[in-house]
Amino acid sequence: MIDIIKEYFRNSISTGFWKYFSDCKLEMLLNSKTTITNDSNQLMMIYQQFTVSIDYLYQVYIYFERNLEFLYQHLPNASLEFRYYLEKLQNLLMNSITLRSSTDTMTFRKILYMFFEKDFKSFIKLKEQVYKGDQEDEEEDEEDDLELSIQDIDLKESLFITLCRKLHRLNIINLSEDIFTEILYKKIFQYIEEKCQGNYEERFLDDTLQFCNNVLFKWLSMIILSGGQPQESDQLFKQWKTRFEFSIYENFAQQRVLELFSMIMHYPSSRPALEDLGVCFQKIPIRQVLIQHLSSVIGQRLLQPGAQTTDIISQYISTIQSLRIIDPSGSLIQTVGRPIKQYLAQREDTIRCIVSIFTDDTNELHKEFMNFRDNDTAELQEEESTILEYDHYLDDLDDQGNFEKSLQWVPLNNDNFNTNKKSSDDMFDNLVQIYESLDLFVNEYRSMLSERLLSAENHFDNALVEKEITNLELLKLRFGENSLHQCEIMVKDMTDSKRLNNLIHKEMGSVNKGVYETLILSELFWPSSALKDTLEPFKYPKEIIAQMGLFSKEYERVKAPRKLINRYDFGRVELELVMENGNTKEFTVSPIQASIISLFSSEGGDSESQVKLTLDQMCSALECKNKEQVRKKLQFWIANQVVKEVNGVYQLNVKDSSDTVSMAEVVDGDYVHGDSDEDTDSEDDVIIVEEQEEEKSVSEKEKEEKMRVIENFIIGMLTNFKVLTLDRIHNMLTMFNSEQYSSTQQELKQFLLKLINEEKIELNNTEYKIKN
Amino acid sequence: MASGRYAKRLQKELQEIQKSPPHGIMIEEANNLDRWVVQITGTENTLYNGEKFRLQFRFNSEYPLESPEVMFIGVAPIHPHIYSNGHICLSILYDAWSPALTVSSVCVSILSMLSSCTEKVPPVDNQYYVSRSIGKTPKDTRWMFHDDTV
Amino acid sequence: MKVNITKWSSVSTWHWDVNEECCGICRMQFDYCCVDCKVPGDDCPPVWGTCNHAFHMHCILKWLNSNQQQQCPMCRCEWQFKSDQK
Repeated sequence: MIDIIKEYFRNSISTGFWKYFSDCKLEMLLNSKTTITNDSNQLMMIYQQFTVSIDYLYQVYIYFERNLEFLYQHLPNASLEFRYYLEKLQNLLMNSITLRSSTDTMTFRKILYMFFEKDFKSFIKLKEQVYKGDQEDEEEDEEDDLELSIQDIDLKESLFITLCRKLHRLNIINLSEDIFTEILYKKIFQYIEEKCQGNYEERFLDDTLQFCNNVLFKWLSMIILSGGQPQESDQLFKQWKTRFEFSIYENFAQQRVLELFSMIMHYPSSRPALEDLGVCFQKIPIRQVLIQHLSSVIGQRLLQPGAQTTDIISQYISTIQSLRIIDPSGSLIQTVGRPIKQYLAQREDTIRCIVSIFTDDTNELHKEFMNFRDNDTAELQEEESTILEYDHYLDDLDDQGNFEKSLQWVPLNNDNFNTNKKSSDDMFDNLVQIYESLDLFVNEYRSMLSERLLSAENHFDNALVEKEITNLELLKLRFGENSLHQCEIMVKDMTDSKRLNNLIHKEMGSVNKGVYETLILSELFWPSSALKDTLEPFKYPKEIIAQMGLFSKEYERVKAPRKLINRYDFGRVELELVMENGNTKEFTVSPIQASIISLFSSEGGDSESQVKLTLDQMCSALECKNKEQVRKKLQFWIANQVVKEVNGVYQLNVKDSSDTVSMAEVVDGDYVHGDSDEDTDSEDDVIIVEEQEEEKSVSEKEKEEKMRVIENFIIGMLTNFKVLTLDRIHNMLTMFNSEQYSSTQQELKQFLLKLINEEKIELNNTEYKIKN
Repeated sequence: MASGRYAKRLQKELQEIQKSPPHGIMIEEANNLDRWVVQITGTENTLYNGEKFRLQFRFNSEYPLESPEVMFIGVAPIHPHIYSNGHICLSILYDAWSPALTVSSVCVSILSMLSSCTEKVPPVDNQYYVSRSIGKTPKDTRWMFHDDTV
Repeated sequence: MKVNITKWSSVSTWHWDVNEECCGICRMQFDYCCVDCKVPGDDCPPVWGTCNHAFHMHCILKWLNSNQQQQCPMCRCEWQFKSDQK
């Protein structure tokens, strides 16, 4: 019996069904890769033919169903069997259609897809028109653009529902679930993309949900609710809805997470978008995706040599503020912020930038910071002084403070990210936390301060010290008095030194005053690294020793019972070399360099004979045991073509220079203070100079040529940026001019030195600028 | 509370003892700067060889201008100058205190007091003293230091 | 050639001329200051007794004021300020 039906279905019904599509050029459809056709006529035809063909199938099915029913009516207890055969019947019918040839399944699915999508699209179109009309207060009343009247819509919908009911009966709805799911997902995705992408200043999540509710779910309800028992399908529809809602959040979050970095860049105007993400963050597990994506974008776009430290800091702050909107618990920030903190802590100028944020009123972030501050209440002051006052008694002068730290140092945890915190506190904490603790931050600041003070061109420059005092006062408001106590003494040393120098010079009388002056530091209050001695003591030139002796004696008298210890590593000497031909050259050098060149000075009228010295002779004249030290420092004078070496004997490098005009040249030597790293750096420089000057190889000449090309670029940068550090110049060149620029930072430094000598640019502390 | 001006001095002392503890002296407890417990071990070839005792130090805010309160806790050594309630009759802990003394030097003094002992006997007035000084600090006692040699 | 030095700006550190590194009372370095002071130097000098032991002036005064016996904390000899402070 079944076989007969099967045969019948396969032979006539199948043919009958497919005949409806004979004019629809289905072959074309099969060959094309896309699911749907662009030909709207064809689409229309398929849509209509599908409706008719389903009618046809339905009638066939109903005919058989009736007969089957009739058959079983007379059999007792046969409802189960009846159901079984009914299903069998459905399957047979479907199989007869889709299994006629190998391509049928595919074709049938494509037809289904097109049918649903076509219907969906026209449904959306109508809904959107109605929806829009609603929103715009029916302003477009008169417009008869609406293709169909409300009645027509109803009619159309009821036709669709009827058809769906038939599809339910034929069990085709079950087969098409994935099809209309896909259609809906596509729409959601597209909707979010069109509506939200690039726009962070409005909230879209509710809007999206509402759209789904008003439009997508309506359509879905027509399909689902048209079948079977009302209760059953109600239940089913609810399940569908829940599933879809979850997908909407997921879809929304996934798409928005991709834009999170941009949102952070646009913070605070991107607050609405961040709040949307926050809602999603609570509902669905996007944490991992978010962290992964954001961390990788931050790594690629933010934490790279080309980015300016201030920008990184400002992004870091925005990141924290943005992520706190998404996840108030703060755990996101900890994970995402860690690499940024670590990166910043490595950058040398970070501390400078942060101090500038706190103190410099021309700093962009400072304004933001102060704005925060203005919004805060006064109670903050009290709060913080209790927190911050801990380390005066406990703070030791150097590194032996581990014990104290273990008592005092409270590790960071989530509680530190108190959401009620005031925003300036917040910003402040976050900046300080780059250095993991207040102590470390203050240490960092202290070493920066010492470097600034010691490397100042003029130690007794009022403006310099006053600026630092202002900074310090501002920082004290933040950190509390006690943690900056040592810094205060450092600054005080500067002002005291100036006063004492004046006093002592006065006592000594103008005759003996001479050119000697000295900073007098309270050693224990300066960072131990800043005052580390690396040079072996050597002898200053006689005249200086005499002046220094007088000065010390006077000091010991005025300040008894105290004594002064001269620090040979530090200091700065300005001198002028007067050549035999009357030419002069000015230099600013370190005391050891000055002491070395003084050995070559011809004393008295004995100008005929050149001073010739071996390294050993120089060492004994300087009373310095370390030959290597003297040799290294001598390189500076060789590099500057003041001294030359002939067979181990050093003498002045007298040129038959044709330029008879007296010229003054200013050259800075390595009067760099403090930290030994920098010292080695400058020694390297000198050696490079030597190599370039003495044995200029072809490749080096090429390099120089290339550098000349770079010169314009550097001048351009300095014109635009006013001042730049070596670091920045190097980074910018590497970034923008990678084709021509391949030098190391050392080589660049050397080249910049040349530009300084050519009086094109000048160096102020660590910053280069155009020479006026 | 010793968290006052001289907290730093105590911290330095603690660091030094922990870094290079004198022979037979070990910090057992110094969780805060008010109260420390030090373990001392009787010196070899003395009556107290290898015996372990616990000394309690209490510092007030005037330390080191004022002496710390020092006494044995737990079982006190039997010694002519040490009462069974832990009080110690040693001049440097009271009238002869000097701010140049430290926890470490006090411990060394007490150890040497034990070392020089020739007979393990309690002070003659032990019972009388102990019954009168219940709940009192040894610093309130008017000590008579007859014999510094034992 | 002649070298004309126009400015010789050096860096020195000042130190109290004391044999001991730390004050025996507060155990702070002399070049630091006593616990009640914040600023080193003029305001917090060391002083010597006739026994040649040195303390922060503030520390020894506090000790002498709090104690009937006027003894040097180091050697217990009677404390007298050395008139010729180094």
